[in-house]
Amino acid sequence: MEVMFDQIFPAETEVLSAVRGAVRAACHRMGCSEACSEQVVLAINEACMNIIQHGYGFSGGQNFTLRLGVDDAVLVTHLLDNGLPATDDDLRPRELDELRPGGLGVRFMRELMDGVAYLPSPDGFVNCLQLIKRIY
Amino acid sequence: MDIQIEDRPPYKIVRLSGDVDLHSSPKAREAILDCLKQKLPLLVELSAVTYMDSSGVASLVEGYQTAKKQGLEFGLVAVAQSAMNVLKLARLDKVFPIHASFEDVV
Repeated sequence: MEVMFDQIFPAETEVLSAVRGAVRAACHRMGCSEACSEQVVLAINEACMNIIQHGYGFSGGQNFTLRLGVDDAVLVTHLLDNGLPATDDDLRPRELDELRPGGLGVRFMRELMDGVAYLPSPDGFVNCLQLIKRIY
Repeated sequence: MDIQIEDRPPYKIVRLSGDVDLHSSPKAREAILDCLKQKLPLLVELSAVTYMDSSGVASLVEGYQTAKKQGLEFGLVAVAQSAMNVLKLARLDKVFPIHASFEDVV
């Protein structure tokens, strides 16, 4: 995979705007269409929200790493964190026929990306979430 | 995100602009629920929303459900494309009353 972006962010809601800007710029460099970029931005934003909200419980003073790359026309995103351990069971989308606030993030990630899964974490991290999307 | 509250009898109007995300949506939620405490029908104007995530959608759902429980009208007005895309993704574009402009409602 050719890494196009690799940065550590504080796990705080204030950084979400900067994350979105960085993802948009990386998608632009990779030649994604605007529609594709916005889908990727929304999906990654939701994944970062989950880390801040559920992984770290808004505890502050924590970080996550966002790594974006391209591999044979596929955008590969890795989000690495040290929050609560998560598994693919946490990636089950809820049904939309029940009207309630919340629980939409996983649904968005699943619908917008071609693949969402937890990978074995590299040393120094608890979780490694991978999101992939064919971009050409 | 910026929030403006306006009275347009009989409606209360909440105008949201900018990015409605996990950082800002608690303020949007608070503004919507505060307005509903006044027991007036509520319209949320979204023409200047540049980005909305699932937490912004959740604020709108909570407002809609609170209004419904109280028998109050709740609707969205002039929804920007960025927000509409997310509402469609959540299949809420068929749930919320959505109006193209205030002239359609007031």
